[in-house]
Amino acid sequence: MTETVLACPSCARELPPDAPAGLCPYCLLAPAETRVLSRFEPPSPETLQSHFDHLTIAEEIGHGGMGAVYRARQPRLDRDVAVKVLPPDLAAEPGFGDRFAREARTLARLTHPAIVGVHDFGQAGPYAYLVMEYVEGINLRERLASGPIAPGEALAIVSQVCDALQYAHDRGIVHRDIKPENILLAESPADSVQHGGVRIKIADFGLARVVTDVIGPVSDPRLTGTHQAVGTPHYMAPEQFATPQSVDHRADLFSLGVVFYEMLTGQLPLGRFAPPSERAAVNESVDRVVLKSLDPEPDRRYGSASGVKHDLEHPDEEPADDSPKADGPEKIREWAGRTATAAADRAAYAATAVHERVAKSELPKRVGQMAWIDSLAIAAAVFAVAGVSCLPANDAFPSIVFLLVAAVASLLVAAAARRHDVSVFAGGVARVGEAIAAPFRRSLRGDGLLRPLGGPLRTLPEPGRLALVPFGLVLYGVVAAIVGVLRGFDDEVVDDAAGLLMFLAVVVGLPLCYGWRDRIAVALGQTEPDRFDRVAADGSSRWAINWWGLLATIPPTVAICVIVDTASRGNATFAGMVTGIAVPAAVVAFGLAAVLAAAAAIRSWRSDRMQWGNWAAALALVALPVGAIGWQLAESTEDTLFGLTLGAASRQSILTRIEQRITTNEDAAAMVSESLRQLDDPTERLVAWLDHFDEPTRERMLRNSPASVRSQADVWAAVVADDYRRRVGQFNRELIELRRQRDRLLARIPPPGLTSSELMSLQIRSFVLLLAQWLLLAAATIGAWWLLTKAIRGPVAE
Amino acid sequence: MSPRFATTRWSLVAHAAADDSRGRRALGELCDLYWRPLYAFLRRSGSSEQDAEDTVQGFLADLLARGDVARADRGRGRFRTFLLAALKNYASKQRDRDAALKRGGGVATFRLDPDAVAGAEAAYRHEPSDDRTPEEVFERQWALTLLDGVLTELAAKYESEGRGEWFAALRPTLTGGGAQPYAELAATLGSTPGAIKTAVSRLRREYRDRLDAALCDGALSDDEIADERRALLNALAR
Repeated sequence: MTETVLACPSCARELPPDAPAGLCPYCLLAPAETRVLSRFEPPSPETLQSHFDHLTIAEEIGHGGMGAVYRARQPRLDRDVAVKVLPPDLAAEPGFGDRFAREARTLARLTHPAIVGVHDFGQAGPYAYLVMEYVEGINLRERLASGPIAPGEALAIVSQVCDALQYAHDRGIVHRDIKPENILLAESPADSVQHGGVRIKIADFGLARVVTDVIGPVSDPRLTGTHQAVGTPHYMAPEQFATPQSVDHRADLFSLGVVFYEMLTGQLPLGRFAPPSERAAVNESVDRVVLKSLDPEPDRRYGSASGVKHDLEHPDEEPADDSPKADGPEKIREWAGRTATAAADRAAYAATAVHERVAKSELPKRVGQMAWIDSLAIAAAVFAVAGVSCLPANDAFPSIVFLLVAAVASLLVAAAARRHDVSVFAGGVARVGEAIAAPFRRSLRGDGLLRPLGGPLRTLPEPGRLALVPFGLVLYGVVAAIVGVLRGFDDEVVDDAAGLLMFLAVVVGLPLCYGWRDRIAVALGQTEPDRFDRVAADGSSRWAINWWGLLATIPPTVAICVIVDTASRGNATFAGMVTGIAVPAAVVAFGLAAVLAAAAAIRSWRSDRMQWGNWAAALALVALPVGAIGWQLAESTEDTLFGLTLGAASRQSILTRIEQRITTNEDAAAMVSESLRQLDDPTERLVAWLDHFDEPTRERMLRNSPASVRSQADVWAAVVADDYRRRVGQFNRELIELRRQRDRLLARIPPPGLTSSELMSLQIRSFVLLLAQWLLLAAATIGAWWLLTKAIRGPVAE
Repeated sequence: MSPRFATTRWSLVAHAAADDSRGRRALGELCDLYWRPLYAFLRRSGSSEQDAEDTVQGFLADLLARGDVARADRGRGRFRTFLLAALKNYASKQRDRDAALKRGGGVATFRLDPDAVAGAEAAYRHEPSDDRTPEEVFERQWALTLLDGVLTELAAKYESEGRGEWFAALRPTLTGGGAQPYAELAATLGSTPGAIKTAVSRLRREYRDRLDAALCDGALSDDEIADERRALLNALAR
């Protein structure tokens, strides 16, 4: 018998002789999704060289299932670089090229001393490659293998990792695969003193995302094992397994916590692990940092990498309390996030509208540079609403900036089109521009904004969301008031200011008008797990959603353009009526209330004609509940339309999944109920309790005091039963919800054998419903607008 | 209907608790599944080969006779934990009862297959003789048994479909390492690389589903499953 030690070809661990079927048990148990592509054989430097003429490939310095890294020379710049090539399998996946390029460009913008810089990228033969900064040194895995790390050194490393992560997170980039293999320890004696003897560089930023995005649905967590063969799940945050689509920067902080723990103790924090201070010479303040980073619940972790660093460097101060607050403020953020997203998204239109209005009215002649004040006002308002509401979400701010940039870009396009003096055309151009921009925006982390929109928001009734509108209007009102003060109040300015406010109200009103499209956008962002994400996972349904989404945006867009045209021709009342059709009454009612307040205040200052204003305000308030009812109606109509539009197959598959979950829950509830029933029986209860003890103890207990044992059993049973009841309750609650979902879905599946004419009649019916709702809203709005016009022009008209 | 719960150990337990033929089959299945880790645990605790075999056999028979399984419920946590605690309990009181059993008081309702015992002993001897505790040995053997079970189930399924040869050839792709390129596999199996790719992804999906179900063991949430996976990975990594 020869003793040969075999190693797993995947993870290089020693293969135990009792390995099941001769396969590495570790790799068998690790999440199977981590090994999706066929085995990647790294090309030899010579082979690779044939694809590069501007680089001299020197040697391979590491490889794994997801790529290989080579040291190479850039002769022209006389420097060493690292070239990472990705498996040809990956590059051959559809859509890879675009994503890779986009991600590489994003990564190239990360310039930080502790992040491996990306110089270039491209496709060489079958290989997608990245040219990166070459880091002389070893990685943290190798360092860990060579011997224990002193706590001081570990702290220095973590603190630098924090700096780098904070830098990247501020730019909305999440690493997703922080592990010792990706933390390089550079040989750089020059500044080694001020960094505790080490200088780190983080490699492979964002690559996990490219791989995840390219090779399958986002529900499969996959890892890039660059410096080792297969990614290890040890460093992944729980939510990366459970809900990979909603992973944010806090996942990196969890991974960092694991790395930190491993550096301090040499072990991974698994199961019920000891706090670091029990295993290493660190004090309890470090325990706090490590344990908080490792909290399975992202909300209870640190909110930012700088928070980790702060607590490490200032152990005596109060812990940095930067974790996002739950509930109240969180909810407000979610509401506001939704409105802000949509508002920014639509700012381009409103900006166009305001621009047109202002450019063609008398105002510019009098106010001169009024146009840029409008743009500024919109920018300020969007910033204020979005910024304030999204402050706790770190990656939201860049998203808002991007949305704003997109809005301004649309504005410029529209302005160019306006030279032809056809504002309908201008609006159309802006619409096309926006449609083209949408996918880019999503990929550039615009989804960061949409992400917080799940949860409680789903159940929030429409009026609750509407409550945000006055907030935005107050901001606009302030801007308008400043303009008014600057120019001094006179009749024409008040008239124009009211018109301006009207258009600004559109900025906030449109998002709600576009409620359809927004809900679809949320669905495409896969943030609303209720129903659309599963539907959207189906390719053909995705097309259907896009198609309907596009259709849904057309009427309001055209309406806005018509407003602009008519308003610019001086027919303000007609413009108001059209606005009334385009903008749902609830929104305008709020807008009018704000405008009327301003108008009434101005008028009362100038004269005593306040009656019209009061009447209009009253009507606006009546319009509010009417509008709210309309919204609910719209929701159900939309459901009907969607139900008939999407493919029956995808609905059927959702139904099957729901039914499976129902069975699962019923099983679970039945099992727990059965246990609960057993606890009801005094004898069974006693036996179960005694079963916790070994025989001698049991006998002693029964000998000493049988009565007390019985009462112990009762107490124990009461406690356990409570837990059981809680579980049964939970299962049953889920069951109710699931059954409700099932019924709703069943109602939306056309009965089998539905003829096309029957389908058509259903569609017509829902369209009529929708039309009725619009008319209802329009009637309320037009009434309010007419009164407003009276209020403003009152003295002139009479 | 519900893939997760149909195959959990606790549902087997529920069936085993029923006093009918289905119950006895479920219990037999349970014993087959889990006596090997128990055996390794006892061996590491210092029992001799013979004693360990007797104790496991006695323990499982006792489990049957006393209806402990009927009282085991998922509220007590993982089946793995329950089984180990029950074994410890049994071993501690067994010494007292040894004499009685030797007089012929015990009726064995469950007999271990001698070949299987030899296999378990061989497996135990593979356990590295370092400073692992009996519990760690138990957990490691548990993990191996679980994986073995999943692979055996899958092999049986493929065999029954007449695709045993495919399973044998594609099995290495489950760990991602050491697999031949698709083209070679295609040549071996007389198929096309495209078909191989499909077959591999199907195999992986089936394997993953079964593994998840096996890991579920009393866990109710995905978090708990992930926890269990980590715990077992840790046991293997030690």
